[in-house]
Amino acid sequence: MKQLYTILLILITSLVLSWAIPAVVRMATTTASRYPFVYYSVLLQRFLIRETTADNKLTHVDTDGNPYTREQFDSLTPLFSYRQLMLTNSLPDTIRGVPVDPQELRAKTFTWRYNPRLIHTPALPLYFMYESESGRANLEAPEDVFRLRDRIEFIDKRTNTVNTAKSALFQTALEEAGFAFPAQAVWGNLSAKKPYDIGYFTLDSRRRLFHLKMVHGEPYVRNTHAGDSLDIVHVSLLEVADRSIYGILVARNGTLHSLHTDDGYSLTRFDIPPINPDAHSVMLMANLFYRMVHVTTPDSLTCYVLDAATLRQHDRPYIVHAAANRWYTVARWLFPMYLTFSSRHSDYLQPAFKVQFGWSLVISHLTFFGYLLILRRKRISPRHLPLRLVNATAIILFGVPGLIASLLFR
Amino acid sequence: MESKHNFQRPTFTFQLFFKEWIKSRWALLVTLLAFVGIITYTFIGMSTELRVLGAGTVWESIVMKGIIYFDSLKYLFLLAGVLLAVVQYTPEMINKRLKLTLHLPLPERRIVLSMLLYGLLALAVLFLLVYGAVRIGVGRYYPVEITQWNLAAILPWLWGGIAAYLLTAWITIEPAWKQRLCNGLVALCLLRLFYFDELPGAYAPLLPFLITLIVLSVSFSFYSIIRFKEGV
Repeated sequence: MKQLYTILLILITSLVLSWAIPAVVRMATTTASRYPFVYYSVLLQRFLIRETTADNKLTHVDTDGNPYTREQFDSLTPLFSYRQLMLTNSLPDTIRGVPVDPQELRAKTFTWRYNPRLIHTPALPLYFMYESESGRANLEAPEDVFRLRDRIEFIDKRTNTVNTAKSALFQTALEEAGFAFPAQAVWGNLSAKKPYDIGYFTLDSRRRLFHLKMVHGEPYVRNTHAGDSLDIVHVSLLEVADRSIYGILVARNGTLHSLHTDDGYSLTRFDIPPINPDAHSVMLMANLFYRMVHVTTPDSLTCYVLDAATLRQHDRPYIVHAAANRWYTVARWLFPMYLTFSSRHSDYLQPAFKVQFGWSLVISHLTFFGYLLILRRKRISPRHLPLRLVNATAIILFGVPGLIASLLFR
Repeated sequence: MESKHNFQRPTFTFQLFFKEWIKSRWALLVTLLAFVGIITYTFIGMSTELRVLGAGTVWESIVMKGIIYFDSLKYLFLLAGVLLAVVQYTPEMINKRLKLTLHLPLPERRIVLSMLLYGLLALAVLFLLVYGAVRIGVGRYYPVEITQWNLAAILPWLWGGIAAYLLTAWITIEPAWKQRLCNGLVALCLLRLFYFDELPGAYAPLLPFLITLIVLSVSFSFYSIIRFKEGV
């Protein structure tokens, strides 16, 4: 029996150490994988790259490597640096023949970020329904919260009871609009600190996308029909100043779409290759003329520039490759296989084995033979064969963690 | 008549349970009081917050920031598990009294399993009371979603308490100090898995893996018992 208990101990210790030791080594060896800031110059019609060097100096170059000063960079990117240019009274009256004023530039400028964590995160499924047309400058916090799953229910904050009348009103409105319960997802901006309210977008059980908000105390429900052609995994509501779009949709197949505020909830697809919604991050920088879409994958950053009106590519994309992370080099030598629980793509903890057989596998084989040498001869008997097989598996697969487990429990 | 007969000759397992109860009752009482104290204090704080700040402000901060109430319980589950194992197994290791226990007319495996089972049942009852109190208490003030949010936060800590009990038992029964130290380091790594600072509910995919580790770690104490008998 002792052999069985020893085997269990070695296996569990190997597993735990195959998480703990690589986690410590990773902390000690990992290097930053920061990308430079890339912005498309409306005047030069090419990308400009701003980067901080190792000696903490700011450099500005274009895609051909031509250097620029910080002031030149500001002048060449008026759509980005307009506040700085206003400060120095050097904001041009027209850009590419189009008259511009700071207010308009501000209204047309917004950013949006997408990270896989947005779709892989535990969330508290309660929401605030603001009055969308209150006539007030600031949004006022409602007296209740609502849940939307098997039905819609408003819960009074003071009494912690369901407001049946309001719940029935919204339930009826959703049913009349053809919403099929249970709701699959609800997206909205819960904060009251936004310029205006556009309510929520919600997927019904048939994965159709509905728009839900409250106007003058009454429910407003519309089928956007965006879900008819797309399997939507995420909707970001943007509340942009010019009210031209509701937000951006991410589809399961990796395409991105902007959802327009016209009556038909029309969609325009971003003219970029599909992303992997579970692994890639996106940053969108919008201005009067362009939509710059930066897609970050584990290997690179790809910067696309699209025309603001059509979302078609305006210029060729610019690609920055990721610098090698020292941790990966170390891991390739030390750990043929290791365990992780967290991921930068998810807020959930999940056990996952990272396998990287290569030189580390050769080293772990040598380690195992070294282990056999330090064992006393009597312990390498047929009686101990199952234990030695477990030793071999643990050391060869996990490397150092397997060796430590085998040495701790003999 | 039959029931009287059973009462007069209770099984050895129940005798063992009674022996464990005698050793651990004060520790269990102290742990229970600590839980009652912290939970009562948390509920008083919750009620005061709602009264002083107003339901609107408090609900907003919970819904928007995902605030939870029971952070102070985080390591109490762990301490409860460690304390129970220490009071159960340390007396057995003093002057090697465990030898006497192992000489009872029962298979050794059953003796050790009964001792561990007693500890696990005691912790299960205690933790279920805490879980129930949190569920009922939060449910009085907030909707079920917020109750579940708080319960999801404490669930991994609660399992961490069970793991702490089994691992402390393993370490305490181990006869050699050097090996005890090694066991302690492995136990620390294992326990760390239950205490990552994550959002409530983030543990959902990991818990089955952790519970499997807990079930398997029941066997660790048997390894120590064999070493104890071998006189290592």
